[in-house]
Amino acid sequence: MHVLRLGLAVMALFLVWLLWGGLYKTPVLQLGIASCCLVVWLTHRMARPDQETHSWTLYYRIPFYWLWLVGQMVISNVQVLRMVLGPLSALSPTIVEVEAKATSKFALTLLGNSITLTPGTLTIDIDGNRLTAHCLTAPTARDLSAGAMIRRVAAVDPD
Amino acid sequence: MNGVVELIAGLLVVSGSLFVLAGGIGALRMPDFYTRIHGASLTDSLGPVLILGGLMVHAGPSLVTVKLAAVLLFLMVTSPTASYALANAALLAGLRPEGVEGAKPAADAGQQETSP
Repeated sequence: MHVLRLGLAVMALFLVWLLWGGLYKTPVLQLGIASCCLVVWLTHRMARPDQETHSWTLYYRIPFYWLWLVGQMVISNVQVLRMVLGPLSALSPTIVEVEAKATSKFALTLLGNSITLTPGTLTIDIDGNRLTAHCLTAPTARDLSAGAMIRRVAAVDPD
Repeated sequence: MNGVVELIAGLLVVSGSLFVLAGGIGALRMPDFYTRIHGASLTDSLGPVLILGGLMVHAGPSLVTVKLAAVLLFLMVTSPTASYALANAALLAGLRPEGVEGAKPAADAGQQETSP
């Protein structure tokens, strides 16, 4: 049963590889099969210690979150662009600690990456469900502490 | 019609390139390590979104667009992970952020500055 699942994973990966490669010669195909096996083996080694299960509804909620995140990214990119090109005296680096509402590993990763992905805020440490973030200015730190992002991440993947 | 699509694609790619350029300027201008990461993060947030978005508009609905979307998705997952690894390594190595006001780590920074 276990071997069957791994075999299916290799087959699925190889189908994707065929679709994206578009070069069908024997040595290339052999390399493709070898790399698919390697990926499955590496993932199998990595994924065993933390097997979290998530509800399928996650997959339709997350695109909406991404749309909101792209909006946030545009706003904060323009802010940081001004900081970069303007006077450096406008900087007021601040460190804030925020508490995540959702505690699954997936939700913590999503929150940490989202904080880093919006320029002006940078996750520097994660301890349990407390995240430490370095912010470029005090107002961005206040925005982060206000918790709009934390609430939205918790809505995507509630405990 | 084709001209308009080309124009939009070109504008997206050019504005993305400007963000990448600004990221480079930011990495050079910012005063300390952590603020430099902030500056450089312009390069891996809106920069690739605009550039790859422009290329997707240019390619139209085809397999190339699907591939570009996959590239963008992987980039959006891996680049913040790399930034976090960098910043966390610096924090664990004991590098304190400069000029920080705020919570607990700021108090530590003050102690470090008085006794170098």
